[in-house]
Amino acid sequence: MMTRPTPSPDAIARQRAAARRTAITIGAIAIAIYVAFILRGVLGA
Amino acid sequence: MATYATDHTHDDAHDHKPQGFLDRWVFSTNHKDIGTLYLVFSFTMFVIGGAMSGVIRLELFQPGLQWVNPEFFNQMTTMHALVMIFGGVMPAFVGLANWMIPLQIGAPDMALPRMNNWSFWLLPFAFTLLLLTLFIPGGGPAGGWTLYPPLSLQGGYSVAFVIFAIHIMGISSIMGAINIIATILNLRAPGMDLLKMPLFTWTWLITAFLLIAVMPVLAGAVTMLLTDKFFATSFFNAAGGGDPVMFQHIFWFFGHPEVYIMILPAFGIVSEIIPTFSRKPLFGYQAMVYATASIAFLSFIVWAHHMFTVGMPLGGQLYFMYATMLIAIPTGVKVFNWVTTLWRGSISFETPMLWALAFVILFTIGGFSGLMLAIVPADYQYHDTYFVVAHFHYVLVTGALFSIIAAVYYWWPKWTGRMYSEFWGKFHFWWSVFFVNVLFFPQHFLGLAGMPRRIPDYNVAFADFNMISSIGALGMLITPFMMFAILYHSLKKGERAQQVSWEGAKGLEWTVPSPAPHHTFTTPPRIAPGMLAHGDVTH
Repeated sequence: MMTRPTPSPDAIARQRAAARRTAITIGAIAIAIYVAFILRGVLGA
Repeated sequence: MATYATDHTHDDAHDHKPQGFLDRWVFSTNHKDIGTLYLVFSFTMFVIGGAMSGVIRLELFQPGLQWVNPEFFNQMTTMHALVMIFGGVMPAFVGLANWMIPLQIGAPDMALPRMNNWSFWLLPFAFTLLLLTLFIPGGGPAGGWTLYPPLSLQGGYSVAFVIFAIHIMGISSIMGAINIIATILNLRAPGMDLLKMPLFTWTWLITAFLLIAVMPVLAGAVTMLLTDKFFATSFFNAAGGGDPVMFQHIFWFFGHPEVYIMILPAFGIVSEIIPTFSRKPLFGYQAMVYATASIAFLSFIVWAHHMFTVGMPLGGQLYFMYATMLIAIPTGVKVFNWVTTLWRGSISFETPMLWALAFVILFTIGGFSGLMLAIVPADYQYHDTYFVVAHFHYVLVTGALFSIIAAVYYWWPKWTGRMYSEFWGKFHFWWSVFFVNVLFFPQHFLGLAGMPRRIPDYNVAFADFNMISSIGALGMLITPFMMFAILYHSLKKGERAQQVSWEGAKGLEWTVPSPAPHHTFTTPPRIAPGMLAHGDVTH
């Protein structure tokens, strides 16, 4: 299996930051859905 | 045997795995070790959930109450479902995702390895909490896995424990899904475009989005149940102005996509195995991806077909009926593409292929009975009968579980570096496929004849088919131990596996040695033409 040259530290840092951003965004969406459904119950009542 | 990748100069072949038990298994951040933990946990839960189904089928072996009291029977039906769904099927797929997604996309690990560890270790605590409710005063939950109020709120202390356990499982699932999305979107090797990814990875990406969308809904529903029970709110309490039917709407808004959470990764597994043993590229790769996405979308707009009998307006019934039937179209695309992949292939029937083919045939039976249930006037007859039980067991046992077993047999040589006995693998298959049909097929007839689900006793008219079904259950109860013995023997005495363990196998996971080293793709792989399984093939 041929491999590419090892990525530079900068590239790795950028990749990590992007992964972290994705995780935070998706997590925030999950929390928003949870809160929205409870709020819907509270306001509906 | 090996058709490519024999020229590997693998600088990842070093194997610096942690030496101590705690470091290796408790504090692990390695995707392969965490995948193994998930799979071992899931196997344990399948055995526990299977034992509960044994109690159920033992009691139903003949009419009358013989072995357990009705309250305990109800606890068994409820716990069996919760354990199998949240402890068996879902963690098994997450385990497979952990093992295979980084290998398939050329990533060194999951994007968030520490969170990965946490996602797993929440599960044993959640299920300990859930299972211990069987031993507290009043026993475990007995109102069904759907937790419909007001029945579910009439339980004792167990309600709080169950809801807490579900919250923990939900957090674990959401963190697992975040990790999978972050990994696939950010850590793919250069050249691994989205539409070149293996189908297993694709189906998991879509499944992870489903999890993010619906697990918070379940969490919200059970949080409201909790406050109704212990804090005098009335979200679902009619006496206080609430609406118990609203719970059913919210629950099934989670519950129907949940069904697809448990079957989309199965579609991905079968889409990996059939091309390998047909020695042909998957037919209609892009159509498979779009069909998966369509099924995921449709799963959000059909939830009320689970509740046709609650008394919804005719327009609502018609809408949910037709919307449900639409799902048959992308599912049909998938079945067509699997069959077309087989067409004129150079097919061989190794153990994983047998399980995958059984999946295609038996899951389709489950799909057809689902279509029957989607028809409103027919559903009035079938609702809450054993026909429904037969339907979802064809989908979840011969569908989801068979695909998990197929995946384990398919990737086992890559994980362990050992082959297993083909004879015993096939024996396991034929034994299972016989007894699973003995177990579940008669339940269609019981349901059509009117036998209700979740009852410990029944009319003598249903005796024969129940006896046959229970004999099938006895045969199935042996199968996890059979599989364990086959795999244990393979680990100890199995033949050494080659890097490309199956002649027709393609994809990045087959470019690393068998067993896969502890660290793989620490530098991104260079993807050569023809190396990927499906995505770089045009028809």
